[in-house]
Amino acid sequence: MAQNDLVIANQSFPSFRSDLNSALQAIQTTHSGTSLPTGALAGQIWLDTTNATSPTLKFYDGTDSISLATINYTANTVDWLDSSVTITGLSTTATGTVLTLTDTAHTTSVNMILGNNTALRFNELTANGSNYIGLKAPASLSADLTFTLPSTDGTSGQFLKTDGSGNLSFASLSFATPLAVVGDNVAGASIRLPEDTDNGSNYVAIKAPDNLASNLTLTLPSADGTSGQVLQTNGSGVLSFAGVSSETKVWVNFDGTGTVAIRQSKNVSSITDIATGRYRVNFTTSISDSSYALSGTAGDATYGTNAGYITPDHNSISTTSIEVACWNYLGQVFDSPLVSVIVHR
Amino acid sequence: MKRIIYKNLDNSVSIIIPTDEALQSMTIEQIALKDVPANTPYKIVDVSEIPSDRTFRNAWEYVE
Repeated sequence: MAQNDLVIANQSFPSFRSDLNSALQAIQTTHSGTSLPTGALAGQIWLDTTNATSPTLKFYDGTDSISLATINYTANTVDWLDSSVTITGLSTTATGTVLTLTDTAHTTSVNMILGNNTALRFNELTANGSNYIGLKAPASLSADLTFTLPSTDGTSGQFLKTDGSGNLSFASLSFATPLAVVGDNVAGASIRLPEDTDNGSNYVAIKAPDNLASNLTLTLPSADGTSGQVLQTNGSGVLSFAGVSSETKVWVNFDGTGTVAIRQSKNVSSITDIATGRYRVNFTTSISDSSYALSGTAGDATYGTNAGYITPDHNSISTTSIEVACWNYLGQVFDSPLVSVIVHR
Repeated sequence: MKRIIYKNLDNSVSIIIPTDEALQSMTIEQIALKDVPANTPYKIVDVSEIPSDRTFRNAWEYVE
């Protein structure tokens, strides 16, 4: 470690020899010292040894000393300090390989390190703007993590998956175990099937009940049913399509007294008050044919528990309506306060 | 509440009482078109215009 002003003055031979050796030693040690060498000239490079184990190589421009790199004696590495340094040919005019990182001493590739959570950026075409795609590490990592890319491309629609050790490969979507929708049911864990996005953002969702005593698996039918069939279970979760053997197509409960009032109904558009104790029940949706069964009652307040009954007008039975008459237990047509008419098919 | 009234061929009077379920999907005019016999004039009236005393129900007449 030596410095010298590199000026040999007129002097005696011993002094000259000493001064010359000092100058040569300064050159040998790259003007090592803790401050700029005395008499330094613009363009001189010197080594600032303020940090004895990691000195800084500096360039003197005639006024200031510009730090070029820090030389780490322990790790035997060089850290170039000015991040704005550009290397002509690396990113502009080169047509072949522009950068290869190789440790020639060990004949193996070395790592490129982007420190302090910085990103590797891929710019779009300059003519299109200055946006980029960046890749970067998480801000915090508990251990080193290296992803190794696949050695070959996948096929259309495949996705990248990991083997759990950082080795990535392309694979098709498949499930060796049942697909699970993970989440809190209250928060809406469900399978959602969205409508055409051109029409909006609504969806059909399938979700489990909020509370289940045990696992429940429903197995869908292997084939479609016919029109009008319904899904039924075999009691073990196996579903199938089946026809409905019979069902109540029409029912109505009304008060046939006064101005006539309908209490509740199914598939009834209206009641026609025709005459004393005679009413027509008009169906909202027609029944497939008129071979249906009719039942009903005509409550009789006058005679207490002696319930009345209804009879159909056989000439009126149609797929769109039916006329009924209410009879009391004396066999008289009367206005019943509690008429029930039910049509089964 | 509304009612639909019309005269039968024997000059008796029929009164149509729409259900609530039907009124949720149809207007009373649509119900009249569906449930009044074809080509039969009808009239939509308020229920208050219908007598509540049915003693002589079969003698009611439809006055146009």
